[in-house]
Amino acid sequence: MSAARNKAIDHLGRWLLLGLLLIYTVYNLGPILWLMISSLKGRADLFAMPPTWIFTPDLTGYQSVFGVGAARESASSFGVFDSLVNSVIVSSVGTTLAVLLGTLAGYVCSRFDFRGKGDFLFFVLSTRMLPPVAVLVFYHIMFAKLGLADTRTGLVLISVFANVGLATWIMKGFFDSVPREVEQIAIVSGYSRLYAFRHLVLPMVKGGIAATAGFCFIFAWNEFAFSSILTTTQAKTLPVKISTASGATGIEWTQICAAGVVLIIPVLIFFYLIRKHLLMGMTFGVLGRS
Amino acid sequence: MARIDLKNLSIHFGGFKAVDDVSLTVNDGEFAVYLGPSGCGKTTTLRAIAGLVSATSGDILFDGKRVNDLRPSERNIAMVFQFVSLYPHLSIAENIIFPLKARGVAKADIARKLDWVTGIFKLGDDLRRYPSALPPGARQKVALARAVIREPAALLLDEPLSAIDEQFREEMRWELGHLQRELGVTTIYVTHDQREAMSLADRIVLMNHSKIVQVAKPDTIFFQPSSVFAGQFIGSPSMNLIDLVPVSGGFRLGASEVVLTHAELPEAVIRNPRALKLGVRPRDVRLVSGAGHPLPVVDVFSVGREKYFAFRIGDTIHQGFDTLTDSTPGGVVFAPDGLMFFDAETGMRLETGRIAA
Repeated sequence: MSAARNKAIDHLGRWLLLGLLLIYTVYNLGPILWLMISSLKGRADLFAMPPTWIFTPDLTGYQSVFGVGAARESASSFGVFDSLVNSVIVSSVGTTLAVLLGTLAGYVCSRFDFRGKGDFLFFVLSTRMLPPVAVLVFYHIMFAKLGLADTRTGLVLISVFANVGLATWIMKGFFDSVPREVEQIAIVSGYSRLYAFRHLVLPMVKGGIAATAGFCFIFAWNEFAFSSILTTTQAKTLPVKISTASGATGIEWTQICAAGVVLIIPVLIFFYLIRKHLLMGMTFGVLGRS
Repeated sequence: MARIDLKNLSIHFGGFKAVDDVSLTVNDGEFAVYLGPSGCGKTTTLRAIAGLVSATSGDILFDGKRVNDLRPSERNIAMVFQFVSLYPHLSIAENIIFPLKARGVAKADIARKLDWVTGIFKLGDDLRRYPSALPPGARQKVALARAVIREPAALLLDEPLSAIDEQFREEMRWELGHLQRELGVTTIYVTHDQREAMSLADRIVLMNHSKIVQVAKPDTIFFQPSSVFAGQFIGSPSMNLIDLVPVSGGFRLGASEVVLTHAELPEAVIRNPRALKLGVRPRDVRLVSGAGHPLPVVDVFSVGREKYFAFRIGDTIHQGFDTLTDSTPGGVVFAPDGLMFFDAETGMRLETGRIAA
């Protein structure tokens, strides 16, 4: 085989690869781009066929999502803003609690032996494996009896329940990577274990806490199954609201698209913030030596 | 400064006996080295003395006072671990005074003590830097300074030098030995490196399988090992072990035709002829010239001034170390005062008196 022919095959291979990557990119980013453009179109532009590429941006969708301007009180507004507030509250409170509990439990599982530790770790992980749909009906009845149906408190509890196991496992991995000597030196030196935990170990796993919080937040933020069944009017979260959206004047596509963009943004911000920790977290926190 | 007594100390983890009925006294100001292969219980013993592991049975006494139930912080001991555990977010100075801050020592005293240890360890230039700026060896020096600054009753060192580069390790070893004698602090040092143990210890505590095998001065343990294990664990290259088969009038050397006659052997060996093992350190094997030797040399390597060589007894290869310049060595002989005899069954050494160096 000649060198020239080899080169030609090389070229062909490269173009083929580029072509595949392009298709893959369009497949992944296309819908998001479509969503973003649609969120800025008024009703007329939205349904124009062929699609208009040049149009005057219509911001009413975003106005109603964030509850500002005239759109807030208009008949077409259907409470997207309230569901955004619900989502923010439920996700952040739920994440905070799950990370707090997971950090404490992860530390204990990393450093101490207790009866049934293996079973405990499996149990907390199994809460994540559970398909939510399987138990939804019973949660619905339970929450109705407890007065938790359609409340943010109820959703926060669900969010903690769903994420604390994950948080425990991830944090255990991070604590495992901190040598025990860190505390032992402190304890021998006359400090308490609590002091060593708070002032020496915790600062060493800051990155891990950030990564864990991010994962929990995203799971909570995207949670759909429980929220869709357990809420009716008051506590609807943004994903549920988007899926069931219709206003007095029919389906408000502009608003739905704007809400969709808003739904994506926290995830982007999170991954931007923790991009450095993420690699570390995935390679040595979760999978690292234990 | 304190005397430390261990009385019938046992530590079990579930069904596993990590430390099995260990009794020992470490005198005030003594440098004791726990030596043994990994998993022999030496580190667990050290941790029990520190209070990081609790004794299943037996007593730990500091100056005659039982400390089993005291927490680590109440025992006034300082510890240095194998892997440097300086706190990365604290400066060198902050790391060193870390134990003093725990006890609320007055600021002036802290400054005075910091000056003192900085002088000893020559760390003056590094005080404001952070651990990551220092090479590993220097970090371990900081860890030692942190241990010494509180003037502990005992210094517990868990393989403090094994994570450091070879070159710096030698240097640190001399420094550590010098420092310990200067401070006179009771020191218990754990290592699996027999050279470290030999050069540092006032006494070596040799452990194997959770028990103490022998407690003796380095020279004693080298020249009068209690057993085959002690003989082979100490010394580098390791001691040759050769079967001694009783025959009429003497003992045959393994599968060779060489017979050690009764006249050549100590009284304790011939008194009760039975299967024995002969221990010969490589440096007690001498090269001799001449062809057709019954213990032939099979290979010679030059190690600078000395020759490192292999010789054959029957089918087994043994090793020797000699300074002979003869270019064609044919065989070997053993220095008569370098022979050690062990019971083949129990592995214990027969008392034949101290052999010469």
